[in-house]
Amino acid sequence: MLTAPEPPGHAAPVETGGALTPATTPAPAGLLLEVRGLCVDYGAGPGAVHAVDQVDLVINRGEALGIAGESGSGKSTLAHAITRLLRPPAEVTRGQVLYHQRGPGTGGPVDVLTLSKSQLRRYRWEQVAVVFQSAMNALNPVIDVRSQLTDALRTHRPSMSRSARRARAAELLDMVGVSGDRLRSFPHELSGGMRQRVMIAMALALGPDLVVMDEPTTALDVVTQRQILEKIEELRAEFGFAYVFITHDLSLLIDTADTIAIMYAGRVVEVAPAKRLYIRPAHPYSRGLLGSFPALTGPRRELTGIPGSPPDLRALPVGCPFAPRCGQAMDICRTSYPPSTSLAPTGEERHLVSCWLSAQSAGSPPSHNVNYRRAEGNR
Amino acid sequence: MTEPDRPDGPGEALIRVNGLTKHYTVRARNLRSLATRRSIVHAVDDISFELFPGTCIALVGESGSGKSTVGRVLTYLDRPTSGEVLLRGKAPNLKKRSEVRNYRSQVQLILQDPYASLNPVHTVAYHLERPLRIHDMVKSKSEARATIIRLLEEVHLTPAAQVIDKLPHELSGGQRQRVAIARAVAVQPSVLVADEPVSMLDVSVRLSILNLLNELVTKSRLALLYITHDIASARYFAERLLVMYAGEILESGPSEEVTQSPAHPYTQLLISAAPDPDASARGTRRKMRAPGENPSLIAPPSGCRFHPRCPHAMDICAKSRPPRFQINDSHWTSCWLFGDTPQTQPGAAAELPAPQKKVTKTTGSTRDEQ
Repeated sequence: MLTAPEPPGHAAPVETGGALTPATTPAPAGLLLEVRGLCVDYGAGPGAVHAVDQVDLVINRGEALGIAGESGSGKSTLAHAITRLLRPPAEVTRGQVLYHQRGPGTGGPVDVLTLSKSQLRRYRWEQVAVVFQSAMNALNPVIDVRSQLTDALRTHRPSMSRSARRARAAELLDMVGVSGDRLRSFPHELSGGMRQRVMIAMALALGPDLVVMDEPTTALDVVTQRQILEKIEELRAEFGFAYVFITHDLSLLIDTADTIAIMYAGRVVEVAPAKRLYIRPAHPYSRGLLGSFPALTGPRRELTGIPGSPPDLRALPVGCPFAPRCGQAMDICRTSYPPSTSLAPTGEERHLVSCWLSAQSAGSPPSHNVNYRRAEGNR
Repeated sequence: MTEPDRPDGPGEALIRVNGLTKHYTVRARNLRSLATRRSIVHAVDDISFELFPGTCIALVGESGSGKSTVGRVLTYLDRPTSGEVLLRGKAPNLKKRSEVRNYRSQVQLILQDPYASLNPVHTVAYHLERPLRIHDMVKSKSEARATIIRLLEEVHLTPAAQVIDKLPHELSGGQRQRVAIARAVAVQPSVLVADEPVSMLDVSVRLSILNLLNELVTKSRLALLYITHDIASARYFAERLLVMYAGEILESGPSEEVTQSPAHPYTQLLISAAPDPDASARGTRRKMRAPGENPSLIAPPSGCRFHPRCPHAMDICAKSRPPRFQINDSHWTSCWLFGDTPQTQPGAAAELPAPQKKVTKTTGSTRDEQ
């Protein structure tokens, strides 16, 4: 995002059938993945939990997109939907995940949600790889690191010789800063940080365009976390992959991500460039999140926090789900969900927020008469 | 043996930790030769500090630094290998169960994970009644219930009458941690040891839990040891910081001073590693200094345990463990870079050549460089 020009706003109409990337310019910059109106439910019928609700997201090539939210906000479900790793009772009820392939002549974007089994096999790992939170559980405890690293290569590159695979495994380990003599180690012989590095090496084995990282550093302590983040940045600069970084720690994202999406109760409530979000958060929930953690430097500021507790996804309030906790809630907030409003008219920056406060001050007339009375008190 | 850390705190120390050492014996079996080998993990080595009523002191360190062990020994879940923990100047006789029980009623522990520390088959009332019964705080069932209601209100779990008969799975993480806090304060302790009380909770809930702890500290004049890896929260909620690394305390001082002008290279590393959105947004974020791995505590490095990772390491650092050097009245560090003004063990410093100073000013922050 910082290096590549932005495509037009994420709401720009894209014809699903037509080629989005002209065959003459296989631009490295541009759209990589588009999530459109995605809904994921757990269970069906009236008891269904709407874990992801009408989410629109855009990931550009080489971009670092951070997704922040409380537990239960749907961020992990979204990541699983992008990689099609959802299992019943989770089900995608609506929406598309469009993947824009690289290179000329590849045609238009493909909808990941409709891929066949063999297409899916090619999509996963080669184009989109995943790093999970718990490296302890994601690595097989009875198989050594080299075998786990070569496993993906054996499946996806059947023509590769055994020695070439082993050489690649050594190269991958070296890339993430783990010494080669660890190849024959078992996961329990590695520290938490090293295990997470091995996970990243595995994800990068086939040179994916997108790496989805679900809380990759949450179990690690600060110093190791910082080392891993710096390594990821270094690798991104070298290989140019994009990544989605999911975390509940917003302060971390301001450090590392280009763009941040804030999720609340299954919805993306705000998307903005990282620095802009920190300086000018528009959604009251984003402001609450930013006022929840103490800063290490600078003057001591008052921490406001967010009153109340995260909502019950089985019984979401009508209108904006954040309204019961919002100090600025108006009547309209309790009756209808706010539209997505762009706060960056230049088109250079992408700043979208779903909040009636912004919708109204941006001039879009409210759909019906609104009483501007502020909510009485706050619990 | 080092002198206990004595800030100009209010009044008498409630807890005085003197040269506390805790070693664990582990048996490792080599899978190939099947030989069993015993080794000793030096979890905590010769640390001293004090806790004062109405004061929050933070113990900051990475995982594996021994900070949780300190909490366990302080509540006598583990017995110290050597050294002593004095409550109001007196160590309990560990052979007498009544003395240990009495000590525990005074020093209570709050654990990290409220999902694991509450029994899923028991109600909130049961969890809170146990300490009251064990420590003979209540006489009758109705008195217990009234006390429990009062406790729940104290931790802001209202309406208490609704919460009291709930099972843990019916509560959110933050509410569970409030129950755990209520359980700890049920026996009216004078010291609370909170071991990472908020790290399992959502960011938006953390603040309210820390505020609650703070409230208890001020209102009931509790002494709080806040064990955490989050140095930024320690800056806000603790008066003093103790920075722990590989079983030793390397630096101690007022939290604002330690976070804004850290003296020890390890403290500087810790601070440079922590997320700092302010600096990122201003574009002044800098790369982390002195990465590397934590040392093995089975064979800890000689001298200063941080020297293999330290960018300023000198010859002396590998040879001898640095004593405490006072930076000012309330701020000290164990680092040979500050070797001008030895406070303790003057003999040890005199035998060795004067260390070459690389940090120019003791109070100056290296964060201000560049």
